[in-house]
Amino acid sequence: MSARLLAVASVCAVLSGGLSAGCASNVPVIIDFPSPASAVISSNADIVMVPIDENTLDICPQLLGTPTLDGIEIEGVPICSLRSGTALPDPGGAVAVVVRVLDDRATVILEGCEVADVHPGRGEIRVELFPTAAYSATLARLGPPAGGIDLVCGGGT
Amino acid sequence: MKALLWCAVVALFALAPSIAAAQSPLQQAEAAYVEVDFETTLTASQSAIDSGELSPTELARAYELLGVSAAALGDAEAAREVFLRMLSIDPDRRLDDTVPPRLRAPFMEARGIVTARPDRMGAEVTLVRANGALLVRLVDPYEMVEGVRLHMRAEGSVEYETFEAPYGEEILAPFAPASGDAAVEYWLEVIDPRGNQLVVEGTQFEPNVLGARAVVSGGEGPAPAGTSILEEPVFWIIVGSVVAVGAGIGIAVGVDQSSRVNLVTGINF
Repeated sequence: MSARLLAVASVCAVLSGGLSAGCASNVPVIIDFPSPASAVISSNADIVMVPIDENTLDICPQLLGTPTLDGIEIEGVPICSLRSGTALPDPGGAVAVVVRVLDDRATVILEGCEVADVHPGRGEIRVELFPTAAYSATLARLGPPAGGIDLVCGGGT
Repeated sequence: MKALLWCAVVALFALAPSIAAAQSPLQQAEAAYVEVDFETTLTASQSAIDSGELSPTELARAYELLGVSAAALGDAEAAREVFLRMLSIDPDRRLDDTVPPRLRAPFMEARGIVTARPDRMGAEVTLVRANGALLVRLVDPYEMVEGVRLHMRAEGSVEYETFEAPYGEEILAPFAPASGDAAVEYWLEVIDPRGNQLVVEGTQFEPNVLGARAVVSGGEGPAPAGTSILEEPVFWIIVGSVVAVGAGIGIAVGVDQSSRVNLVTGINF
């Protein structure tokens, strides 16, 4: 009898819990590439969300170029996945969003950082990317891309 | 004493080739990798995979060695394909720190691809008493599975009955004891075209169990005939308590969810 009681009670709990659940809010994170060509010669991106407070709102310049960052890290996201929409974890508060874009030899060719307070209902977060010192070498090595990002990523995604 | 030492040295040299020959292809690949001999690592790890005798852990390692070797020898595309297979078997696998950054790019690409896909290779087995069968559901996003070997026995039996079938999203394995009340013990091998194990659920000695009855402690007997559970005050007390707790958890989850954010990327030029 105890087992039946528990089973029925569990179902009730799940149902009542499920009915009360709400929905999460969507916030786009837009990565601004300097040009279409720069996106085409890119392979992957690493995204790191570094928690900040009111004293570190201007931390971005220090983070750019720093090899190891302490934060939530999403490594090796292909550019096409970045374009079609990759879900990132909710950092739950103010963060510096650092994006590093790598070429086919895992060299950082583009980098950007943006401070954002992540909370429900906020607008999009835009991270503007800038070429690193290695960018022009990669562009010269790979040559001007023959096609656009649509061609690389196979159409709409 | 000196003569004895010479004998030992000579014997060691005489035995050396046979010791090498006794190594499995995977051990040979590991040895070649330590020696930074990528060509031998490549051929030995491929031989290990071709042997069709590898467990999931060994197979993932063989793919790892194959991928690093291919990357080192300049075939980045092949390396990425191999790393995809490795990560399909073990999504949490990472290259060790000794692998130089220039060889990591194919792995990072493969990891990105695997991370972006919602489905993971796996198998789930359930009991379908109405059909007297076990149902195997397979997920194979990278089309690596050749088939399954399902070993089943009624609880208390010694011998397993083995059912083999080619790949299918749902495979029904007939097993007569499954139609009765008995619990069914099983272990499952999901295999690739060469016979290597991609996924193993349970083992011969520690099988998984389906349809086991809950053990009631305290010698509690069945409810007396004619007594409905709904007439038990304790039932309504428990239900009321659990509903209250459930509603509380639900509201908490709801509040928590509404305060959560889904971050989704996009790009712009």
